[in-house]
Amino acid sequence: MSSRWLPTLLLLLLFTCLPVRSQGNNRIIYGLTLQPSGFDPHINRSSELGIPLRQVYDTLVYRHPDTNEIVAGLATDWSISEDGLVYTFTLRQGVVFHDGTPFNAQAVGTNLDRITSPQTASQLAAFLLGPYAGYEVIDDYTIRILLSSPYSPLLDSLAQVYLGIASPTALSQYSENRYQFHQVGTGPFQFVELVPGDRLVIERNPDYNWGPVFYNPPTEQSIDQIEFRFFTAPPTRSLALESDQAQIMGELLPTDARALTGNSTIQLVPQSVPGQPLQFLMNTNRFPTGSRGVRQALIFGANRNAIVDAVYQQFSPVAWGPLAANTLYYDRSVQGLYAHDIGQAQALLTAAGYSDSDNDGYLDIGGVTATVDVIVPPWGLAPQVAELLQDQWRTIGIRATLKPVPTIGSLLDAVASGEYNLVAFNTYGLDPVLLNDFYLSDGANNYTGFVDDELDDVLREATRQTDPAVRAALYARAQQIIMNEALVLPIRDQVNLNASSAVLTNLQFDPYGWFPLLNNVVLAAA
Amino acid sequence: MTARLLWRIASALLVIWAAATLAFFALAILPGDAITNQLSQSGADADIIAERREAFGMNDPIEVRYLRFLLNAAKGDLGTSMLSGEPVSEAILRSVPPTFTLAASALLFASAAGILTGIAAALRLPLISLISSGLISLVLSTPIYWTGTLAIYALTVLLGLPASQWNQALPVIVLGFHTAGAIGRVTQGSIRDVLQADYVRTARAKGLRERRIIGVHVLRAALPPVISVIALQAGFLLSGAVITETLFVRPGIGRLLLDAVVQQDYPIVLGVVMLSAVIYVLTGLAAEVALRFVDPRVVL
Amino acid sequence: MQRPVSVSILLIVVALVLVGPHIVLTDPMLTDSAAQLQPPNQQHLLGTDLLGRDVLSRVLHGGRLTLLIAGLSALLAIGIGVPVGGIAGMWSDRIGAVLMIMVNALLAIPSLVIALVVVTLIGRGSLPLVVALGIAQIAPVAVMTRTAILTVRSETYVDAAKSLGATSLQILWHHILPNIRPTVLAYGGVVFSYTLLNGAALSFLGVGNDLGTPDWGVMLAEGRAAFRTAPWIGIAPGVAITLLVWVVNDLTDRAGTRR
Repeated sequence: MSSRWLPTLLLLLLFTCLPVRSQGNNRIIYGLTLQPSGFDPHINRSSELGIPLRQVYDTLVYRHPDTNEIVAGLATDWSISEDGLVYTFTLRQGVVFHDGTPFNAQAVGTNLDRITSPQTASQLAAFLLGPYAGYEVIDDYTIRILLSSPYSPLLDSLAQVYLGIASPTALSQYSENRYQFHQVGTGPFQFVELVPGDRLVIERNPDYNWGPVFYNPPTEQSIDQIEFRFFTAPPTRSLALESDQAQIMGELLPTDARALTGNSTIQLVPQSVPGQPLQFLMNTNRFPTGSRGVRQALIFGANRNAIVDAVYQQFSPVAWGPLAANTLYYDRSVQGLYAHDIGQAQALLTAAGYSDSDNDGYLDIGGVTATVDVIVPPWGLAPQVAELLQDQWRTIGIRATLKPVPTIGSLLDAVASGEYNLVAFNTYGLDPVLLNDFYLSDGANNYTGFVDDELDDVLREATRQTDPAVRAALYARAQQIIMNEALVLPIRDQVNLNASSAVLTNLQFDPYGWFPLLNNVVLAAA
Repeated sequence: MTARLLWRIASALLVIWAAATLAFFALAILPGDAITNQLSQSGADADIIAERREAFGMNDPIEVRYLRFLLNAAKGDLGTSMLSGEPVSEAILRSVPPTFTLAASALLFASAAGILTGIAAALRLPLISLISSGLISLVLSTPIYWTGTLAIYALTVLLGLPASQWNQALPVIVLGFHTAGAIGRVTQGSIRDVLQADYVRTARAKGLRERRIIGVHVLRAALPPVISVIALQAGFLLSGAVITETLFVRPGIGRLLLDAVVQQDYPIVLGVVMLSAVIYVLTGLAAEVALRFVDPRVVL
Repeated sequence: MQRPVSVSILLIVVALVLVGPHIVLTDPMLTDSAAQLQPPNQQHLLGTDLLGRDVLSRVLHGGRLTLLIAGLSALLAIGIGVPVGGIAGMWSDRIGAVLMIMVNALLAIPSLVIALVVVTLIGRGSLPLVVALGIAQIAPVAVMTRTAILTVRSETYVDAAKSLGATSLQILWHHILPNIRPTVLAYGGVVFSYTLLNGAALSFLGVGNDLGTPDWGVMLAEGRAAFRTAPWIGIAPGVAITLLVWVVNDLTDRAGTRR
């Protein structure tokens, strides 16, 4: 009789004796909001991986969070050749990787080799290097990066965590998809462990003293260990903060953020993210969005203020063009274009030859009902936006069919099939060079299918030019062309609704918007 | 007796094999997989994707893959995750302890709560039986993610309690909630049936005290269906674990399965299916052995 | 609960779901962002959700969809499960043993995996949900049918019929089927409630119907997201599901214990 209960008793004991988190060190839990398919900054493209890894890797240069200026990182000085094809970097001395390997020019070269190797199948890092053509190690602390054509965004790319410098020793020890579990950098925190689906842990690097100018030296109140955990279901995020399950959380639901504004134990840290806003790209090669009038009508018919109020609780501004307002070379002339106007929308549709000939409430032309198929991913509250749009377009007689896609893979599949009129997709970054993939005729993400020589020339020239004034003018022209042709329905600038426990101060994000600079976070004085 | 036992073990192994085979072929005909998904995001050309899949053995004919899967599984090698390259057996081994702790505690809680409430409901005690009976019905009817969400909300927002106070106990209660209802319902029904049986009336006629009747004869006789349902519920706890681990953001087999399903990481899905089959079969066997102890007359 | 109470609640719920959408004429899909997240008021008896849609009409319309899905999948499960269990029960030695192994294998696979396979093959939506839920319940129905048949077969009157020369089929038709009918019907109710709960669970986990569909499971998921600001969104479908499952369980439980 007793032998039957013993195992269960033991289990109960085990259960009650689960280890309590040890106090003493300054430890916090940071809530990540999605599970990237991998955590290797050279391979994977998710912005989520950059949140922990920005602390583990240093980059050759940094952008100063207050001024956006490019400042020294692992490179103390640099020069660009006349023809823009050779970048020479002088590297910092005395830097050591977390595993003891010394940092030098060859280490940088090894990283570049790995990033650009086809075996690595880099999803973002390799593309950030643009027309990369190789490197030359001049001496232990001097390296030259070579380009096949001028590429002004190179320094911007080198400031991003995806081009963080990893230890060549560690890189050679582990195969492509195993390295992510044993990452070694030079940053203020070192990688401890990654348990897929559960947590990623980093702890302070005691030897770190080569940070960029805006990194503060550690104090008693600095954080010693950070555990990143996954809160993929949005409702769990604010609850986790309130119940102290996590001390920093990203991407709160706007309704929850609104509800927390009175709470004194939690502070909201909203962060604008530059790049493309949440937007719907329109397929110019498919009925009915092949007609510019229809595309313009769709934008006029969308009540974006209502969307920003209802879905985003006014935490995000309406987006007016293909770039968010805090992106470099944003052109103000797009503000207010296609403001909500049902009358204009209807007039445009009538002018394009649409009418409700069969009285079903939806417009048609030549016997075919105007139906737009919308591909909707699950992130960024896009489904709610799509539902509102569907309803708003009903008023102007356009039927919208929503096609939800659960993952980015299925989104790419759906796009490849060509059977869509609108697709919600966007990327982030400070340099508008990110428009190239989307709006060049041969761009990898040219989901609009729009082909135009002038737009191609403008974008290519802006990529080559280094003079900010020239680039600004070129990008202004590009934004105007894109909006004239109504290639995209911009919805809202991305604002990441971060929040932290009030016991923490100095939570600051880098200019790319997503990535916190956790080195500087301290516990508020008691 | 040994012949029966051998047959039981043989059919148990057959069930595991059948479940694994069913799952293997069902997943094999699905379009897309984690490798293709991930690589297509990098704009990797078809060559690299084909190469990776080749290296993973995905281009071999299906009979070859199936045999390889079986042979490896027999050796204990369940393959590697398509995404992280982590051996599936490792992923499962690290996910089992938290789920096992949760599920075992939940089952314990559910059995205790269910049996007690079931007994209370079966005896014709005035108010208590009505409440117990109603409670059992209510618990069986509510979706656990709903009650779980309500509970978390109530504790956090209405009562302002920090997670550390309820983070261990609440998931156990939420997971065991439904099971407690099922066990309670069966206990109640079983005791009710036994109370009407002839030999109980005989015992009453013989003048034995009510308590003695209940304690010795009735409970013992009413146990078999209760044990059966406890064993059956053990299998359902895995599905419950998926929801509980999602609600409370805890690691475990449930989360592992859900993530693998969403990301189309089939080796992990297969591994968890096999684990689930093994658990199912083991709990069934355990139930039969326990039943044999309680009532040697029962033959299944 | 007293039987008349259960029956009347069931009738009321069914009536509301069938007739309600014709009385409450608000469009369940009509968004009104100015009226979002309103608590219950005169215009919206159960309040509005994030996009300003009327919760009451969504519960009523959603009821039709949810009940339809649960009912169809229960029928699917019974339609396949009873014959399979019947064969396994009647010819229990060889065919039955093989069938039971297959049935147990199906039972051993987590329903989430079954749902995934079905949904990936057929796509998302109500029909795949019906198929997925139905398949997941076939095994329990088969097991239960077989057990019931085995129990009846061991009764003395079956032996009597056999000794009088009745064939297996005659025994099946005249003696066994009528006697297992109450048990099967009772279990049918259980299956219905399981599919109701599981369907909502799958939508909740993101594998069922899409956001925006007025389906009780989806509404529970939407309600969960808005819980701290608008708890009524999640409470209404939750109460509806609980109530319905409760009365179905209660009534079928009674039916099952009637000897």
